[in-house]
Amino acid sequence: MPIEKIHGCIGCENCVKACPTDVIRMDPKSDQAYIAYQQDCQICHLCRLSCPVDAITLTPDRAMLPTTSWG
Amino acid sequence: MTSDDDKIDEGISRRDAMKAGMLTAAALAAPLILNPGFKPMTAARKSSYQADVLIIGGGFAGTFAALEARKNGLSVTMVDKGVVGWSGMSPWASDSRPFDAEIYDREEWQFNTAMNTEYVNDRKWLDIFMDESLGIFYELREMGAHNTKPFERGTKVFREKLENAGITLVERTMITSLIQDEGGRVSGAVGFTYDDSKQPSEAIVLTAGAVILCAGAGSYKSPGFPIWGQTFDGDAMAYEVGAKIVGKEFNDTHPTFANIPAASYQGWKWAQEVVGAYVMVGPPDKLMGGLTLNLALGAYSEGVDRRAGVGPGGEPPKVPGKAPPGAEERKRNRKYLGKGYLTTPGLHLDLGGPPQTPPDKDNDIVTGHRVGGATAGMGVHKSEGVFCSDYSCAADGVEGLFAAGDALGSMMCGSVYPGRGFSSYGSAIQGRLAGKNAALYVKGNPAPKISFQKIEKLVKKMWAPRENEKGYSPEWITATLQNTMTPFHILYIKDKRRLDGALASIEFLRQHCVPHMIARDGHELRTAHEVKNMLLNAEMKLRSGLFREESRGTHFREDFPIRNDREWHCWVTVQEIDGAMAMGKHMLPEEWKPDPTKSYRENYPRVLPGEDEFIRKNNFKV
Repeated sequence: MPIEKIHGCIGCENCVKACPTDVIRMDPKSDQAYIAYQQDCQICHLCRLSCPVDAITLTPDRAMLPTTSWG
Repeated sequence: MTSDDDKIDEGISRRDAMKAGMLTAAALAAPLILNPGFKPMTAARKSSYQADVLIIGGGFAGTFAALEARKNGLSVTMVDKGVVGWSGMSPWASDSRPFDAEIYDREEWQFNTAMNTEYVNDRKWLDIFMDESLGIFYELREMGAHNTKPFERGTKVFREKLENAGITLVERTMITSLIQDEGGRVSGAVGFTYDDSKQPSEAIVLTAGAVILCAGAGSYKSPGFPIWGQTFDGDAMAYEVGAKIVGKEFNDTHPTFANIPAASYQGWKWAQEVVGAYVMVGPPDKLMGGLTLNLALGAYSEGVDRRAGVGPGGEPPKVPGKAPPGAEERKRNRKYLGKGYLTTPGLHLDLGGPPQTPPDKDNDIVTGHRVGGATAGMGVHKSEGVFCSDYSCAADGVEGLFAAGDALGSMMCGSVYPGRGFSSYGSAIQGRLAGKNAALYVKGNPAPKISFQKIEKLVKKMWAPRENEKGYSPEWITATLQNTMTPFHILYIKDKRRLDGALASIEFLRQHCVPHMIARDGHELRTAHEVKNMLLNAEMKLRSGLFREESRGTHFREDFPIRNDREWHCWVTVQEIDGAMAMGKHMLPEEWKPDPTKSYRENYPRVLPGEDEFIRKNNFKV
């Protein structure tokens, strides 16, 4: 899992702006960022660097897609 | 040079009726999955923007293009797939290679670049680069780009400059097609907002007197290098309106780090911190840095060391106090890099201080070992994209369309990226030129006449994956594309049979799966259009690789392991003609050929596997 968790979000939206692949979105109810499309994370760390309160954790482990003949 | 020089071979890729019939049969037999987010989009909202000039892409090229068009008194809209200054490549702004006539020798730059790029680099573009790059260097300093932390170059310096100039920014918008007016002139673009967390996706219609594509390069989106959101969108949209695309047979490759493959701020920190000029020149077989075909050739001839878990271009984890393997060799090879390799003191001092380092919190990252073969499918910077033969940044044969940066196939870097720092400054120079020429074009032509029905048709096509009730997911198509195109024996070590095999698979995905793509939401609709663009580019790369029956630079054909200047001292173009991908040769000036008074081996010092044997066996005159 490249981007693992967002904990302690203050709702500044910096990570949403920085993500080049639309992995992170804002939850309209809580006004906090959440991981919406983890499978598209390229592990670029831009979200983590842009976070003013260091709320984002990334791990080097990648989730691999199951290999299927169609899908 | 004019486009008349081009020789078109129209027969190479025509799809006949029989093939289409076979595909229909296959379609009936293939399983489809249900679209859980099926949604008719006829009621989707639409927002429209109008400006004199539309810029697609807000990176280095786009920023300079927009500022220049604005300076010429025109209204400018800039649309970006992400957020301008935040999600793109602007942090690389410091990685510069300005040409300073007081330090460097012009002839030497021309000679070395030609030799490194195996004589198919555009020397006039390099001249333009040498004329303008120092100016860009000082302009960036004046903007404050050099004394800013890397992440703030985009978010603060560039973005504020654009906002202060009154440029309208339309962001988090995936552009899917260019709009053409009744006469075929490009006069806008359509796209959609993919972030549907707060409100549903809406169609975005942007009309303009001219369009400048600054949408960057592309890769197959594998997590391997900070190519980020770039998926050849510009090349794909330009191809669809009839533009010629050039340089698809050449591919770059990079090493990266296992744990942070796309993290440019850590893995490529050195590139963020570079100030001043780097020059990497000399015999191509000694050019190190992972930017040549040597890495892929290593995988071919030496294999991969599985004990270390790494292949060519890779290294086992660093042991403290012990030099990594190959360090000594790399150090020795530096002598080949020519004068000016190290940052020149004069330019360094110009910055008013030492290089800035990224935030401290980067330092706790464990990078993992180095791995090779990242960024599969990425072309050579400045040498892949929309073809322009007259140095104006206007697309050949398409009215109203301009391109700059990695979206422009300027061929400045030929078949191999010859050094470092060409890319950002090249983008800035070309962006500014495109902005100036697009402004002249808009001022000299009446407003385009755009048909409402035509826009509606493009919008309907754009929403199609949302409206398909069953089909194939973009995620599965992307994984299949990656598995087809990423292995080194397809795009780096080429052979007709393997290229044909990959092409058959890519063609099937394009013809059969793309029309049946499903998208459950805005995000997936974006990935659907991205994979459509990546597939089109995969076909261009395979066809261009098949067409060039020789080896040159990063294009290596096992079945033609020789440079053949008589037939292939040219650029290869692809263009849609009557629905087929037509290949073309754009022959280069005789004076750009290697020195006829020197031997083949002096002109091409890098020996290719099988080359000498091929020459002997075929009695090939070199």
